[in-house]
Amino acid sequence: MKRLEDIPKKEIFNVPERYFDKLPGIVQTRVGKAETGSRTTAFGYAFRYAAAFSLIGVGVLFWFRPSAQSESPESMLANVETVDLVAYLNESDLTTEELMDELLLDQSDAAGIEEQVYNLGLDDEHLEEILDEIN
Amino acid sequence: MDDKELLLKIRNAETRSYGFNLLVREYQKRIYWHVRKMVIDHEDADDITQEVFIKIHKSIGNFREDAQLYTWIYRIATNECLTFLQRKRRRYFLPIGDVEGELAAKLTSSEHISADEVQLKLQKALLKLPDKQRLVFNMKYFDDMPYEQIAEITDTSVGALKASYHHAVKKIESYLKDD
Repeated sequence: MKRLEDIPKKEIFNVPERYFDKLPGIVQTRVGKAETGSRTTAFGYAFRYAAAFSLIGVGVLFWFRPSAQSESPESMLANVETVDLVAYLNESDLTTEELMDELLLDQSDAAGIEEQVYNLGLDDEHLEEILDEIN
Repeated sequence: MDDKELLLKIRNAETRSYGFNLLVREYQKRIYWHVRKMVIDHEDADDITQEVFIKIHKSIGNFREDAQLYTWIYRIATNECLTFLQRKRRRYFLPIGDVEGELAAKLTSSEHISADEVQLKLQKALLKLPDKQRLVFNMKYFDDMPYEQIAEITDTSVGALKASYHHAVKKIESYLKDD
C-alpha cells in the first residue's frame, strides 16, 4: 500500500449508545450550574467587599471621632452622678489615706475643709441637746 | 433553523436557554467528531466537547458576527483540542513521540473504536504529524471542508494550507510505504 487514495475513507470511531441524545442535557445542566456558581461567586465577592469596606469605615470613624481624651478629668467627673461616686467609693478598696494622697489641695481647699469641720454652725442650745442625747 | 435565527433566540432573554439547546443539538456531532479525531479517546473528546459548548455559552454575548457562527464555533473547538494536547505534553514532560505513543495505544485499546488493520495503519500514520498539520488534514480529507473555510478557522492562508495538506499526504504515504 503506497497511496492514500487506495485506502477507503471510513469512520472508525463510534460513541456509546444514545450519546448524542444525552449530551445537550448534560451541557445544559453544566451551564446552569456554572451560572448559579458565578452568581454565588459574585454575591460572595460583593459580600466580602462590603464587609471590608464596613470595617474600613468603622476604623475611619474610630480614628477621626472626637477624642474623649481631650476632655479634662474634672469635666468628666462632673458628669458622674454623686450617688454613683459614693457607691464606687464604698465598693472600692481605696483607704482614706490613699485618697488623700491622690488629692492635690491648695490653700483655699484646705480653708474650705477646715470651715466645714470646725464651723458646724451649731448654737449652744443645739449642742446641749446633742450632749444630753449622748449621755 | 439557520445560524441567524439561532443567534436571535439566544440573544433574547426569554428564549436564551431554548436557543442554546438548539445550538448544541445543531453542532454537537460536528464538534464532537472534529475533537474526537484529534484526541482519539471518547472520554477526552466528551470532556472537550462539553467544555467547548460551555465556552460558547459564556462568550456568545461577545460574538459580533465578524465571522460565521459555524467558523467561530469550530475555532473554539480547535483551540480546545490543541490546548488539550499541549497540556498533556507539558503535564507529563512528554516529548511529541510519547503523546503519539499514548494516542496510538488508545487506538487499539479504546472501547469505542472499530477499525480494520488498514484504517489503524492510517490513523497511526496521522499521529506522526504535528498537531496543526493533522488538524488540517482531518478537516480536508475526512470532512471535505473547503480550504477557504479551513483558512478562516485556523487563521491561515489558503496557500499555506494547501502546502500543509500536500506535505501531510506525502508523509502519510511515506509511512504507509515503509511500514
